[in-house]
Amino acid sequence: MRNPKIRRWLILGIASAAFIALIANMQLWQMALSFLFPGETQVLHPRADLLILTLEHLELVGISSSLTILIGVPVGIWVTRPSGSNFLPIVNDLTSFGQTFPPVAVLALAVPMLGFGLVPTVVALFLYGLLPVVRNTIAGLRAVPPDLLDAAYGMGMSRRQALLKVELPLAARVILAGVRISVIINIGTAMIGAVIGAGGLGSPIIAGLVQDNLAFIIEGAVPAAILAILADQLLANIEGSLTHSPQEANH
Amino acid sequence: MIRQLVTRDSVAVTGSIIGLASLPLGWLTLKSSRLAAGTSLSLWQVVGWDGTMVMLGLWLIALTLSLTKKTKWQAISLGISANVILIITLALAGFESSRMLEAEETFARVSPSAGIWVTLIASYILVFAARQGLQEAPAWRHLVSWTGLAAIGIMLAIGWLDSLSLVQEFSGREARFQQELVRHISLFAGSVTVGTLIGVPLGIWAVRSRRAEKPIFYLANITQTIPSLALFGLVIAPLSALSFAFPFLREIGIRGVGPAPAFIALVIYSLLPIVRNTFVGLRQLDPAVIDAGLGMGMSRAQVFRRIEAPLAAPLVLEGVRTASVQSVGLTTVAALIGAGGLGWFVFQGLGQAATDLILLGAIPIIGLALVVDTVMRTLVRLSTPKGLGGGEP
Repeated sequence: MRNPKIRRWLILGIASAAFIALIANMQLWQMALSFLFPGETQVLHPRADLLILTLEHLELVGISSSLTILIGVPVGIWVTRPSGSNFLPIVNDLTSFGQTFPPVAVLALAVPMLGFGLVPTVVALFLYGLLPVVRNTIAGLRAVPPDLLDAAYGMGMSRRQALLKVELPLAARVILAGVRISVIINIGTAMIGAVIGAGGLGSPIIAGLVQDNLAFIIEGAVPAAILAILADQLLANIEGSLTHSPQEANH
Repeated sequence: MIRQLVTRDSVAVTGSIIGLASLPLGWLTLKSSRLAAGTSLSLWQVVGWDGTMVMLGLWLIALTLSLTKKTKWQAISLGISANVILIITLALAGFESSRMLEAEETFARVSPSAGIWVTLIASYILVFAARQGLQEAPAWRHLVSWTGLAAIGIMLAIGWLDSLSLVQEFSGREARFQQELVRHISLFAGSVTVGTLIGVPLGIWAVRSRRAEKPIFYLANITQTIPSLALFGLVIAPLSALSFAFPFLREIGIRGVGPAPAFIALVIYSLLPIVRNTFVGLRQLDPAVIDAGLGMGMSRAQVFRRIEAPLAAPLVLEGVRTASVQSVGLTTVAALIGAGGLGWFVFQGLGQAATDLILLGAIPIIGLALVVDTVMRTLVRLSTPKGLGGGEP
């Protein structure tokens, strides 16, 4: 317990277990929401239980964020190599230009091209999520001191070995910070995917807004907020476990 | 061969190849009404074989230029050809769409499809490549960057593109559009202003007091993490409870849904970037500068007003920029809780599966975000005291 890292993981574990217990217990929600909103005849969104909605949400974010990492990190690596260096300026330009785009607008633009449902949501989340991952991969790799690289080559490492054993480990923290931003944006944007029929925790909120039912809104909003905070803490903990120096990861 | 391509302008080559790939795609979509499914028409069905040959020729010229040795004149010709392609594409789209509508019934709509969008992307890549080659010739660089955009503006202004469905959608709702645009701007600008008025003092407090620092950042971080739709939802419930308990609140416009909860949530969202940048801006100051001020006999308040505030201003404004750009996007979501704004068009469009309506909301939102970003970047640059490095990170 004295080790702050172990304590953080322990707190996260307990909080996650409590969250699962909370969303798995629909009777509790029924009671609490009926108490808060005595005027509503129906307080639980009939589409699915919270556990299912949460899993749907995690599936959306999981698929798109995995694609983002699988493609974003290699793209970031490629443009910092000699073979892709021609593309570095345009990739830099696109990532900073693209981050000005509101994620909702990207989601909306995916619909005319790909229709409704899961596919446009995943594609929009994937594309928007790429920006912070690519940007941080580039920033992390470029921050590696050239002396260290020279030392690695001097030790007889090949370019590939230097990348795997020196550059990527040193850039890992910055890359993970990008992944964290990307995942948190994706959890938020996936909520709006409910409007185009992607399911997830956004659906009770959207239904509540349409039917003017406050209970539905709370039923979706509370678990979504907790889910996002837990995911953020999880990624912060992974980020923290990568540090070699005991630097605090705040702000 | 590959080696050689790499030493040539590989970005421009990619752009030209994407441009060539746009030729076989659908160019315009003809729909019998704004909601009907459309038929896609290819370039040669729209402009005939001679027109297709012109486009093919232009792209082949661009490809040849991309493969030529990089020089100033190569970059200029590349940039000009990209602009010519862009202008011809849009001019053709405008001309052919009005010709097609004459032959159709009143409700018919013509919209650009994949081929035109891909052409726009390819011309952007070529313009970008040309700009890279014109670092030393700013006059040419501006010409290459802005001619195409200016031409689009002129074509829109003189009504050349009026037959395209997006423009028709706009003309049908011009009054509503203006109303929602004003609503959007006032919501985001108002919330960022209030966010600044709260965030800057919070940031100053966090710098001054170690005890306040942790809870302030803890709360600001958490609120930023919560998904926007969830935060809107969480603000709605207590507000509607309040408005039920105190009916006079309803009379002044505070209800569960509408602009009031949106405004509150937007203010909360804008806090973190502003607090963080105020904190960093004041924390990074060299203590020697402050000592020098105190040593000159300035009071603590004078040191703050005349030394700390001006030096921290660029970073604070940078935080306001982040908050503003973010807020333009989040205001879109606010349309879901009845706050209006350009998001209204997006969600109406999504509800009716009306593509043009979605675009009528989404494109101006992106444009607004870009304008806000540019304006704020300029302000950051202007506020940077001379002698300090550029305000850009």
